[in-house]
Amino acid sequence: MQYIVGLFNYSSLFLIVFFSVFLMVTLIENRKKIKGETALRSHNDTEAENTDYPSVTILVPVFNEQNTVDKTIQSLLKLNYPEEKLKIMIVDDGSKDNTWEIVKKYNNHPQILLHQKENGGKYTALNYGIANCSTEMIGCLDADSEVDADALLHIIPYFKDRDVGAVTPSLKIQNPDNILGLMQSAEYNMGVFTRKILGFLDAQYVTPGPFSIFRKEVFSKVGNYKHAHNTEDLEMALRLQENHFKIVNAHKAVVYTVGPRTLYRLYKQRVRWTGGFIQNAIDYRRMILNPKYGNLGMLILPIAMYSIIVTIFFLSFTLIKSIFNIIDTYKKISVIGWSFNFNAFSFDWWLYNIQAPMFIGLITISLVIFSIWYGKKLTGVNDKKMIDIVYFITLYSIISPLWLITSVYNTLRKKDASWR
Amino acid sequence: MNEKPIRNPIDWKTYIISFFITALIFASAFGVNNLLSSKKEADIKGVQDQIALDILSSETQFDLLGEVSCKNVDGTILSQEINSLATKLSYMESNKQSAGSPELTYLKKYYSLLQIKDYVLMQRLAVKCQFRPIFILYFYGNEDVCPQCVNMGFVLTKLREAYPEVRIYSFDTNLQLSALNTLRDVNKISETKLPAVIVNDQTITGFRTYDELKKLIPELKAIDKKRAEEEKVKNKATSTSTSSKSILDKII
Repeated sequence: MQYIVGLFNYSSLFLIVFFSVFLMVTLIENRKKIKGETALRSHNDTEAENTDYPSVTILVPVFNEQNTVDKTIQSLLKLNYPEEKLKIMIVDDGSKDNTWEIVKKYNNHPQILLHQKENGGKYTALNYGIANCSTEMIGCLDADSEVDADALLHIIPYFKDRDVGAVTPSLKIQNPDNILGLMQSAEYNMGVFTRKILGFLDAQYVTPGPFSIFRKEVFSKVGNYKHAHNTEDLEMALRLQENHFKIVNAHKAVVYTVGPRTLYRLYKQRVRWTGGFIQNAIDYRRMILNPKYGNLGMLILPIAMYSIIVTIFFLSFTLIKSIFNIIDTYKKISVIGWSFNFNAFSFDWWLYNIQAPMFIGLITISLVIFSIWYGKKLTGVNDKKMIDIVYFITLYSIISPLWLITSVYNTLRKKDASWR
Repeated sequence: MNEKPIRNPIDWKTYIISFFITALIFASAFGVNNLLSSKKEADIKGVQDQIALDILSSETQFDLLGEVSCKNVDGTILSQEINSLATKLSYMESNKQSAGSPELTYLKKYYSLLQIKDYVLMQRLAVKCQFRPIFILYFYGNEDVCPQCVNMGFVLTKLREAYPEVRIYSFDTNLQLSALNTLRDVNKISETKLPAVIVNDQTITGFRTYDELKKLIPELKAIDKKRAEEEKVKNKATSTSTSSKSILDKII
């Protein structure tokens, strides 16, 4: 038994390190491409004729977003893009608060279209928008997000490749000011890096709700959004991949989103994401380990699924070990009482258990730190602060198992996580 | 748009390169690990050699002169390293990697032998120099044979920390060592009655609490008394110095 556990531990560790190394090698192989892409937008900006800009509709599905919707619309209106080519469509999914009153003030705005419908969930609002627009490109922006003024200009050039069905942006946390915010900020920066690399590998499995832009004809080919276990953006990406559309990443297109500010809200959000991922991956299991779907099928999906199991396993292992340690300490105290021995704290390197997994862990952590730093660099932020990385590395490993376990539990019970 | 755009093919080269880099990382991590482990073993062997040398030197001195200078004999004549060796060995025992390894068994046998030699030599010295060292011989077994041995170990460790004057020798009864077997036979230690502690030529089996154990060693009271007196003298000295200082202040 011990042998099997050991084998599982080391093979999992090997796989984790292999995956990190794989991302790094891919980065090195594509470093010239990244440089070229970074220069893409300025070229377009100066030399492009108006005809080079395709028409775009940005859908904003709203449901009880009275506090944030105005800011979202304002940020969209500031987008650098020919006005006559850009439409903003607000789809009110039956809000019960003042959302509709707030958006009504834009009634006569030439760029803004207002729609109201019965409540039916986010995916129905998106489908409503898709059905009611006639532009070449279509995107979506959640009402809790804001876009950088140049975001669309950075995205559109990628559609010159006729195989590209969707382009994803770089997501960042807006003004992180508490510990949870900073932790998520580092996580999102790592996401910027990972998404870029997955883009090179043709293996992005999410087209994030905030500001992923699609070629409109994609929807007539693969169909509309589905409920998809409350993660319709993930299912849509998998569907595009299944139909062999390319999803690329425009790393310079920055979108700011508001991260959950309390642990409970974060937990709820992640239970929805993780649960959605697991259940959609199960729905698309035909892609897993199928060479027809390239790196996504052969590496990314299997690793993403496996990492959930491994994290839960390692957590349970650590938990059981700590319980045994506590029992041992309790036994000792009950036998000899409290004894405080200063000598026990004298440093003797001999008594520290320095083992191979520790070195490997250090290398993995360095790779994680590098990817966060590189994510910042990709979006053009020259941030030398490290505190977000510290929070991420120390806190994330402790709290992420909470939602991983719940998500697996929900999946086993065939229960979808709620939105809020 | 094409009907079915062709996906980027899997670039197996990237997989192979990544695999080799990962393998290299693992190999170097295990290499460093082995290096440190062998250094630890060498360290233990070094300590043991030191103790062996000390014992041999004392014995030779004993034989050569028929006596040793009794002035220095207060339990410190033999290397104090024997305690640090005990800590290191118990660490190795609790460590999953080295527990039950042939190296550890060998080191433990060697350590047991050194303890026995130390014990015998100390007894001879005690007779010669007419002092009464406090010996505790402790016999223990694995957890399945002796579930109380862990607790007994805690108690004895506490005793050793509180009274460094007490010489505690601990023996794993599972070790197959003829000298240890003889010691067991002489003291009539049976494997079914563990933990067994020999204090002042009295064999006690079964778990004893710290206070119970202390009661069995009346000499500890004398040590406590001596310590209390020393403390008093020390306090007096400090108070005298303060009072003389205050007198001095008054004069000034």
